[in-house]
Amino acid sequence: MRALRSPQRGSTTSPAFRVPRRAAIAITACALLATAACSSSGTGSSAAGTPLPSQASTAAAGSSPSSNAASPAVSSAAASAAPKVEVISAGKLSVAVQSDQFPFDFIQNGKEVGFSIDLMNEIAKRLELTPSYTTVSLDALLAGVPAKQYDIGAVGLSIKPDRQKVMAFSEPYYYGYYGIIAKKSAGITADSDFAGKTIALVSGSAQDTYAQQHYPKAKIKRFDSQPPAIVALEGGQVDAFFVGGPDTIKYLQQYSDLTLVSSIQTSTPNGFPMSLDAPGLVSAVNSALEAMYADGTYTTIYKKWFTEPLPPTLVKEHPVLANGAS
Amino acid sequence: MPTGLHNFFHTFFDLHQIANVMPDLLRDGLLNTLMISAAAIICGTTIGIVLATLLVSRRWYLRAPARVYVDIFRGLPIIVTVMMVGLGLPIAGLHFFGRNSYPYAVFALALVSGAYMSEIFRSGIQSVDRGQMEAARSLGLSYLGAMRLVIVPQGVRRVLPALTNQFVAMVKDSSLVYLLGLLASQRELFSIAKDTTFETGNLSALTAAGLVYLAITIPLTHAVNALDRRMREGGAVRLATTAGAPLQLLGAQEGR
Amino acid sequence: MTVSLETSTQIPAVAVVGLWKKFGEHTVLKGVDLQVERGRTVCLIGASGSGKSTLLRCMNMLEAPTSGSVFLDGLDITGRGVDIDAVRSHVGMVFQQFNLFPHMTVLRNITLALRKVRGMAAGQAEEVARARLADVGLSEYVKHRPGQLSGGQQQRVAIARALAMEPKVMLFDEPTSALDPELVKGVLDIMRQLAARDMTMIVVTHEMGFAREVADHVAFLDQGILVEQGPPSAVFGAPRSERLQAFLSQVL
Repeated sequence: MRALRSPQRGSTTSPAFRVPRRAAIAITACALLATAACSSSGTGSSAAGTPLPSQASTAAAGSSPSSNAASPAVSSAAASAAPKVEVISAGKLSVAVQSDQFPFDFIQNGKEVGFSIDLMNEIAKRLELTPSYTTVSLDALLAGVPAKQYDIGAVGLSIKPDRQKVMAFSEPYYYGYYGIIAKKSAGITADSDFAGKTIALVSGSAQDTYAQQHYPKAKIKRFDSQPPAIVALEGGQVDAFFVGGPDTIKYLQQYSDLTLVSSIQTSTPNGFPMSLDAPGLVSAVNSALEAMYADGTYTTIYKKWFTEPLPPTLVKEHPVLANGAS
Repeated sequence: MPTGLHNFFHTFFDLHQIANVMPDLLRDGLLNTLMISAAAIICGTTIGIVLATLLVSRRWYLRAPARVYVDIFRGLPIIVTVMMVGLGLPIAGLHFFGRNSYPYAVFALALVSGAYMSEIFRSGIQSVDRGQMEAARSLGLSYLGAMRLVIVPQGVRRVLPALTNQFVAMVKDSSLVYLLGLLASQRELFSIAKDTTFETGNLSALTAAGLVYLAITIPLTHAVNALDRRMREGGAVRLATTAGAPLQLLGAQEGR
Repeated sequence: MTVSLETSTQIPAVAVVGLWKKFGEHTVLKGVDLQVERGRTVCLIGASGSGKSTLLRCMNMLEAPTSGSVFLDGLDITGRGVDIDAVRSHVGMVFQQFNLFPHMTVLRNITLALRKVRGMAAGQAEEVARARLADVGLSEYVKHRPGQLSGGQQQRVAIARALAMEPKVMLFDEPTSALDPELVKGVLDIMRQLAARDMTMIVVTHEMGFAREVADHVAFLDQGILVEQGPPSAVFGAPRSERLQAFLSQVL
């Protein structure tokens, strides 16, 4: 049986054919669901082995299939073996964003833009869902996604073990880097261990930990936030500023007398957070990402936001990226 | 103990946490806080006295700029002033104090505190009896000389207790130096406490710092009061008057 | 501009010419003329508000006249370009409220001007101060604070303070009016001795007995006008003007 689809643009089925067939299946599915619901005690027929009940519960939930596979035979097998894509409301992907994280997700001209946003829009398209964005604080996001107030978060969020206890993550889609920026006129090179130099950084940041371990001979000047630190750099009060990679992009744009002295790859990956109760969604998102790596979509989006080469660790994990890397 | 109270004590009065952070506070933070506070108090008092003298001047071109200064530095949030001085001066190319955050912070705090204290000193100076100025001028002292030697010393002594607030404020505002960036050796009380709260997720370090601040400000208040008492006692005690005491004649020589 | 107050017997020590003084709308002095010969003691008497204190204060420019001039040994101190601080260092003033400096010891009250105005060295200034304190009979109070002294003692210190500067003229503004009656005599005795030493003194006072006995010249002011002046025998014994007669009948 052909995999069920909700009406989407780009669908190849003619409307006239689709509607009556859909109605018939829907009626049957409701009847079966009622029977299944009465007889099962748990949350649903998630362990169903036959196509019909799994499709029935899918139909009742109003979600779309997890794969765009074309051939009916493959799709039915895929539909029966593939997990459902669990979203809160049919046809929509509810995305939580922070809207203030350059370049991952931020507001430009009143619209939600960014690297994560572009990826998310592409993923939603491949999942045949309409993304809708809600701006929240980081705390609200970290609480709301596991609680299924939102389907997914589109922020540059590090995958950390203590976070993984309460929420699911997509596979890593980005590995960050730290950058050290300094005035061009200062003549600081990447080779130096910054002995005797004064480096500004934000107290308690990831860069703080890194610098303490790797630059013991440098003088670390700790600031409470980034703005005073960058001004101190411009004013000559410090020799260099050690900050997250994406932020260096922002500062290099704002100040023409600065240069990136060194960039350090981190091993902390970024992933999209989702609820632990939505394994189908997780799997679907991962498949979408894999497809995007393969067909070059990811690389195109990446190059739109970053001048740095693709994160080496990511390329190692997905060798297919290396093909479109230049 | 009710749950709410228990939570409160656990968050703010975890004795284990307080004991853990206290050595750092006392060893590193205390001295730094005292340094900044003392310097800011001294500089601020000086600025305050100078400003007060300008505020009481008869010449409008001395009074008006002083008034503007006081209005601005009393009205701006101290954070803004600290940033403008500590980051703004270097950006403008004026590296008065090199790269060290401390002198800039002290300067900014003194500018602000001087504005507040100038009003206190002004009222003190104006409360000095006119006769004092008249007597000083009658002896031939210049206006400035009379101010410096006779009026201001009296005016300052009178308002000493009222300055205590400013002194205490300086001690607490010394923590604002963190805005300008701190080297590891420069951590003062508040920044040590703040860093510890990030590490532990518990706020008891702030309580610990608070206790050390009290250990500075309470004795400071008592010291100011003691100083004030001592200066009052110097003049107030009246000995028994001797109305008919024999007088020596003017000029030891007789028959002139 | 250097000040030289020449001590000549011909030029009056103090000469007030056509002195007018207004405070806002209120005219306190209305064209006063007065001359004080060197070495003489002049007492200014009159009712409260008669302007006598204002007249005295114009003599060392504590009040600036609205019009008219004040001459000290021939120098017009109301003119432009006069170094009034230097002038004042040669004119001693004693106030009704003593005006000692409460934050300093008695000794420092006296040495302050010697050191800061005359430029004397500390040791020399102390010597002079102790001598003047001895003159007023208060040697043992060098280290005391003014607050520890009686009113009479404070006034005597104030006189010593003024005398230490070796003034050419001494001005007294009701020096005993703030004193308890039993302390008045002590201060008047000092002033008597000063007068006997031929200090040029101008005294605003209500002490008619003193004026009678000590003054060489008495001037009576009434509502800003110098109504009558003359030797004490004339002013007290044979007052010519009605206003003076009325005033005397009230105070004596």
